Amino acid sequence: MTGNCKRVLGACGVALSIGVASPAVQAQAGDPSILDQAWAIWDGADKPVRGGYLRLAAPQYIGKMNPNHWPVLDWVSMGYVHDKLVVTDGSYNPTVPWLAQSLTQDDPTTVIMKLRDGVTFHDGSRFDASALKFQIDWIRNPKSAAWSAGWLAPLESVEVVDDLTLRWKFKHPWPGFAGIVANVPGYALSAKALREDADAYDSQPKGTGAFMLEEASPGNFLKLKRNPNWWFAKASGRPDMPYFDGIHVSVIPDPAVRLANLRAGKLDILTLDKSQYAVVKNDPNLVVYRQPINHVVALRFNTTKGVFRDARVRQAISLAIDRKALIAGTQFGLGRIASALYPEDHWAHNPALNPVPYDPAKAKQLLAEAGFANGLTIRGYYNATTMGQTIAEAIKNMLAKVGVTWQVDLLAPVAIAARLKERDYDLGEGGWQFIYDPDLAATGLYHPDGGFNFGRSDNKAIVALIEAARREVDHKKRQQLYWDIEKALYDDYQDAWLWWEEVVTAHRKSIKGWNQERMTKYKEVHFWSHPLWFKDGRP
Amino acid sequence: MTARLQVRDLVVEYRTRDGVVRAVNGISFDLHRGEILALVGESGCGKSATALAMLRLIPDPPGRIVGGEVLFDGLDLLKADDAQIRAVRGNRIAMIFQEPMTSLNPVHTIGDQVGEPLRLHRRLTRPAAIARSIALLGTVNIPHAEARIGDYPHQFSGGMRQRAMMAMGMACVPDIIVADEPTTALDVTVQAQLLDLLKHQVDTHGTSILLITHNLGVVARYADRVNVIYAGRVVEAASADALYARPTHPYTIGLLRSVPRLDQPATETLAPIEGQPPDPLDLPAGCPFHPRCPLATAQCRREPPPLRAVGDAHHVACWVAAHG
Amino acid sequence: MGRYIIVRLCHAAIVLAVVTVLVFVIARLIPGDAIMAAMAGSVDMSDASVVKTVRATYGLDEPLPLQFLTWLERFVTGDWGTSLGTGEPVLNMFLSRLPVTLELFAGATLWSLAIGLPVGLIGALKRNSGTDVVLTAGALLGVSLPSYWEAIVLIYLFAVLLPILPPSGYVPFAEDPLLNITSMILPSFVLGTHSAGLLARYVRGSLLEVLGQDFIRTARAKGLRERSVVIWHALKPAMIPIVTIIGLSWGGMLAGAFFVEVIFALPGLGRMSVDAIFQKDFPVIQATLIAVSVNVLLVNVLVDILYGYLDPRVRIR
Repeated sequence: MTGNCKRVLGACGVALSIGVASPAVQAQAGDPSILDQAWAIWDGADKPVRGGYLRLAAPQYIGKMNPNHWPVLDWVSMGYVHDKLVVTDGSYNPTVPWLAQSLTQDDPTTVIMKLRDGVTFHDGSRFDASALKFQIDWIRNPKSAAWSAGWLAPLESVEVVDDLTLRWKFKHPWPGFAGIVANVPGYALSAKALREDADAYDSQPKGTGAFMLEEASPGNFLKLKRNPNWWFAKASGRPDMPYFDGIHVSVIPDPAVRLANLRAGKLDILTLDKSQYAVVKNDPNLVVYRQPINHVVALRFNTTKGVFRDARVRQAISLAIDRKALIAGTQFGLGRIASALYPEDHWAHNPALNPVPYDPAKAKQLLAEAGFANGLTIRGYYNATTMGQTIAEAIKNMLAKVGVTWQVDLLAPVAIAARLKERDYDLGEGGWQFIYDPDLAATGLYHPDGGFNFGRSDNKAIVALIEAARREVDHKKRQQLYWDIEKALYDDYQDAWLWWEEVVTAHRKSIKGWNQERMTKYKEVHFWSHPLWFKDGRP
Repeated sequence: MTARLQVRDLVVEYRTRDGVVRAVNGISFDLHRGEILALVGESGCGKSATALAMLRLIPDPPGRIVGGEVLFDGLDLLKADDAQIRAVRGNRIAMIFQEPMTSLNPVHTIGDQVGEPLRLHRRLTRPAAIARSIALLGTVNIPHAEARIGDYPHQFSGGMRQRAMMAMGMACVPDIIVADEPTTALDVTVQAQLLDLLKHQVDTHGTSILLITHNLGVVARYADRVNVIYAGRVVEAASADALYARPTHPYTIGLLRSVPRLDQPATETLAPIEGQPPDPLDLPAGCPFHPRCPLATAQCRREPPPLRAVGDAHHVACWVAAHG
Repeated sequence: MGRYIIVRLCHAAIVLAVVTVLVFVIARLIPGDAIMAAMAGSVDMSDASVVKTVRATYGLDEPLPLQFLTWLERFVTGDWGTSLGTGEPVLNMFLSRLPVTLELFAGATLWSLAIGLPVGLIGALKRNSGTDVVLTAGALLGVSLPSYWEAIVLIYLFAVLLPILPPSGYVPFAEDPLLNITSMILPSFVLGTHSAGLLARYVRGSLLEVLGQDFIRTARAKGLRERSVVIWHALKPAMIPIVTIIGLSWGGMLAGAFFVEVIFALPGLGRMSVDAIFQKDFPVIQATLIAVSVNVLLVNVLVDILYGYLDPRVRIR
């Protein structure tokens, strides 16, 4: 990206219109800034039909419905009710304008954001610059008890320029900004509702999303109904969106019972447990898909205390693990062997890196070189769930084959947190979930200030790269920095990355509009821009 | 005159973990109208089992009536069908049990329990049965019967409970009352009252009483005839007078000697019978008493002696004593 | 009788007070930073100030005795705090979940009686026969079957293969009486069969014991038919210990209720309690433990009173 007017958005190189076409034009033709994008394809033989309540299940009730308050336990439902300013593309890059029509880098510490016109909240109030400013100030106010305030730390101020324009000023260059407004702080909340009663917002949310709250029964179900004024329906030129009359999310804690409900016809779409995939994939009433997601499963080395200060020992451990067998044996074959920290389809992933091979002979050799020819005993932890136990057992056996005894404790989250804080482990469960902006994972895991690091990893060169990447505004340069970080982590065997996750989803054949190919290619933006419908408008 | 009740060669066995016990080993006797017959013996000699067997109240398992006949009113009770035996129980032959605290149902009132046989056998309505029960309690000398009819067994004293049991037994004016140790748990004065009541039944209705007891004093006072039971057999059968005047079987003699008497000098020691009652699982061959008998002979050790007459309506089962 | 009741209630109150203090202290003694651990699963914790904010909101930085007094004062006035796990007010959570669990318990008790009483009765009357052996085995099976497995099998049988019952979920009675009842059939059955087996054994044992008593012999000696002996003389005394067992089993039902509520997705107290324990959700844990204690204490008092009512020997003192 070149030019004085640096653009953070527009990776597809299209000149963005500012979206000042008249509302009348928009209503019929849709917004070109949306329609010109690569993911904006709605073809398909079936014509969408309105009707019916989509029936979903979640293992837990959503909890609080203000995304800035904790806990929120169902982010899918959150996304039905609230839209974000920016959405990520197929490489998890926050490049897609959503409620924000454009982000323009004015100077290294200033971004001008133009908001979309004609968007209203569920309570009828208008989405505009003053509403958004109110929301951001509210988040940053300590009295609001918004945990996400920490994410806005680099922000100095946000000012209203005009009705639909904001000036964001940072304390220092902040390339991660777009990623942040593509995440929790970027959900648009009705300023009117926050002003009137911010506490009530937790149970009476007013977003701009495709659906609005109809009825909430905590612990039991969440019922949403169609938002007849959804901005995206107009912007995409498809005023019938969303097609479902509403969404009913039941709370069903047990995965086997969720599946029973799906098969009994009481649910329409369900994320399956991996163990259920083989059983369900041949069910004639269901369509079953595998999808890659942005989680990495890994093992964490304590590189500053104990035997893992020696990189050869770390390498040996990594070589001793048969990743393919691990995925086949514990994940029912559902998972992609990982080479490094960032998933292969993430923009920050260095495509030149290959997974560490399975080479127990070399592992033994390296251990001998490091002085552990007669074996080695290490300590550590893994989470105490059934799956955690399975994985830990498998890895333990693999390590035993090269003479390494791993005394692994299966612990609850509280106890794991204690171990992390005290750096009281050699080898433990690592990994990261929901990798969007690469800085969060990199800092969290490998920077001494990181929330999960506590100094167990302190490679000076890598730390320097992380800090540089935080400030690099040029996307191409930033990307290269993360590639370098990944390579440095990889060469130094800072962690043993095992696999990048997949999920399995099943839906009944009455659900229409699902395009697996495009879903995999465009991910988040495809999901929110392509609402589904029932064949014949009925479940 | 034929006896009201004729028991012939009654045999009752109990299956225990260690083997089969013959509690009743061939007992026979007659019971006549207006007669009080006492069955006397130590605990475990089979007298209670005899009484229970007559009404087929032996719990099965573990007990079993193996043989014999119980003839009553032209019917062998051991072979009667269920309806027939139930028509006899509580109605023609009534039983009064020892241990009145446990023999009465703790969660039902005295009135309901006493009136139960009346409702069953005489088809009285509940109010009529209660009224009749009040009267019955009166006849057994329970004071304020009307007020106490709704009481529970635990609210009665031991003696009153026994009297209530008696009233229950007498309710249908039975031909035979079987009184199993009716006075064991009571003190002497109450004992006397109860037995007088029984005697009264005999005098007014001609009821036959089968009195089961180990109390020789009671026997002396109230019984007309006595059967002495040892190890499941009758060893001596005589009128009460004859038994006390001329006890013949060594066991009977031993028994009488071991009971203190008011006219005995205080310095004279009691003479218990040597030895122990036999182990019911391992009865000795021959006469069951021979291990303890001062007169035992070789024949006694070989063959059990039959009952033989030694006087007017006086029978003894002994090789030595019934000689001649 | 009145004095008897008052004494029992006083005992219960003392126990409750002790339990309250214990509950409060124990919940706080759990090792590790509860907040951080609870939040770590759902949110990025790279900023320590975030944790600080949340801790301050819940007053977890105050000295322990002060926390207790604050909590006690609020509790008594109906402010039971808000759940750390879901953000709901705890009192609301409790009140909305109570009817679900009560309905489940009632249904389970009904099933338990419907199965346990006849099985126990027949077992006692036909002691050691083939029927008794089969029934005893069945009772043991009912107790040993893991409720989780039983539940899944039943769901697949009656909701997937033969779609006659709903597989899971709860609907208030006022909203849809038929769906409410049909939704409760399988869960209360699973919970009920567990105690039905035990109940059957107790009924059998109690009845056998009563049938061996002398007063049963007296009843037979009066000429009653066996059926009348059992019904009129044996049942009532045999049922006295049974009534207490049923009452006491309510106290223990909460543990079994948890499994059933999780599997059948019933928003009840059992599930709420255990979720709270796993998430170290203090306000909910405290409220639940106290509620459970009250329940157990109340049931015990009620059982004592009922016992006194049924057994005349105890009553008149």
